[in-house]
Amino acid sequence: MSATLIDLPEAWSDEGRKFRTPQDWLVAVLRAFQSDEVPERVLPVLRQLRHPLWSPQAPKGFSDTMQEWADPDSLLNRAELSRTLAERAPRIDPRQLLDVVDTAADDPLRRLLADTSIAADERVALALASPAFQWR
Amino acid sequence: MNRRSFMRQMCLGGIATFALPSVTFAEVRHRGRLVFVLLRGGFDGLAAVVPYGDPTYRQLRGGFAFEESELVHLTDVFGLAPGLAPLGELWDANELVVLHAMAIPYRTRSHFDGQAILETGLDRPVGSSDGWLNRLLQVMSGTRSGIAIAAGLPRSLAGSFEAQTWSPTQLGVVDDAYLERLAALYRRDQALHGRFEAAMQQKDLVGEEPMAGGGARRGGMTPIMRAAARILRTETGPNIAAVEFSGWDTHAVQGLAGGALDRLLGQLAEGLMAFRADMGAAWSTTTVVVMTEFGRTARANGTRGTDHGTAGAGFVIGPSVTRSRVFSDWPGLSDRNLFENRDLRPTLDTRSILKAAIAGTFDLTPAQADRVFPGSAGVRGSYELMG
Repeated sequence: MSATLIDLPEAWSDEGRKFRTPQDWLVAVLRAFQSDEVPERVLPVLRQLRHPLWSPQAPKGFSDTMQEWADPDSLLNRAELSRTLAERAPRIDPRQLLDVVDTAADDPLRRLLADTSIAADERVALALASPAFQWR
Repeated sequence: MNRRSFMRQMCLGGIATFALPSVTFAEVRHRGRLVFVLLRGGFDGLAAVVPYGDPTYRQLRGGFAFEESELVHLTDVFGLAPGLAPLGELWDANELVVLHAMAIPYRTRSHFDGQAILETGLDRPVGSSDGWLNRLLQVMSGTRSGIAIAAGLPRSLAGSFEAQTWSPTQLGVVDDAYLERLAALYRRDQALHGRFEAAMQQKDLVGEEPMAGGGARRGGMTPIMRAAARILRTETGPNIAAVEFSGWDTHAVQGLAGGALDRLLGQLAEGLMAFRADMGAAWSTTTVVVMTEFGRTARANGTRGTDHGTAGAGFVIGPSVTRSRVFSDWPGLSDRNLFENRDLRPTLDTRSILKAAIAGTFDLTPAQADRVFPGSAGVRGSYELMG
């Protein structure tokens, strides 16, 4: 049954996608960097993204909706943060990130990641802040 | 459709009733601006708008009372705390309504419930999770929009009408080329592109953030209020803004003139006056409402502060108010007049003020104002405040 579910076209359509909460997004960033551990400095980052670890507002808890997390200011916040994270990241080939960012064949991000006239760390940042990377 | 069937639809509250105005005025953009400033934590109304003329005030607050000479006298009974002195200019310009003995319609001393009620506009902490500012956007017709000057969307703006957000940058300046490349990527994402565009627009409007640098961007209310003015004053700017400041929960060492609370009030007054100046010509159609979830205990506590109370103070500011006045059915401060022998007794419902503020700013009928606050038909709007 699992195989059938995976093969279902609905499982891969846009309707089934979910906007990454800040914590989801940050974990995805660490995985993209192939980090083995979670550095302690992610804690202030999570606070800054209004998603402090284990500290939801009682009694409501954290929302997991796009309405809550994808407001304009938060998107810009992720864009700015991606820049900082990419600067401090281990040196990786930006093109490797295509393995972890789910892009359509005609997504201009593919071209950007291969464009060596753009600094490597900026290309990494573009991948992390790209709309494609905000969904799971 | 003949006249009879048209009337019939009107009477039935059919689609025609609502469709006609929105079709006719679809391109009309509201010129009114409403800024709802929420002071989270419950600011001490008795220390902000001081009832120095109440015969019991001095005895009640003891060593915790202001000297009459320190206050900005408004009436024989009320004076503004020294920190709020800049608001005296608004008072002289007939742009300041001072509210007192005002409270939300539900008795709670919980920040969580109090803020929920103030932000949803309901009379109990459960029910709709929509905010009243969002309901207001739904009730208004024509082209209109709302923005939260806050990290994330506050509950007051949450709801089916999509609102924007802006807050100060927390990191370094990001270069334009990077943001333009990102914007191009976002244009292909149907769900997100409008949001990213809005963020870019707001960033352009605010420009170099006021008082940016030196790590001071997060501190102080003035930079936030000035950024809000830059976003709101444009022709196509948002009509409704939710602004919030925290730090008002003064359980300890609240202080008097120049003390902790007075300094916060000073920041608030400075921020409000900077906002008014920066709005320029757009100020003429702008109304600012300042409220908090509850007032504080009438007497000081053992740690030179005050605890969660009931009624408190607030402000309605702008050229649309009829005239400057202290608007209060003052209950007095004697022991028997206090609510549960501890708090200022509430005699004014926040919704009565909010109804007047929105009706006066956006030309709404009382019936429309009632729809913004479900279950409030019995609460008459204080419409005489706005003229």
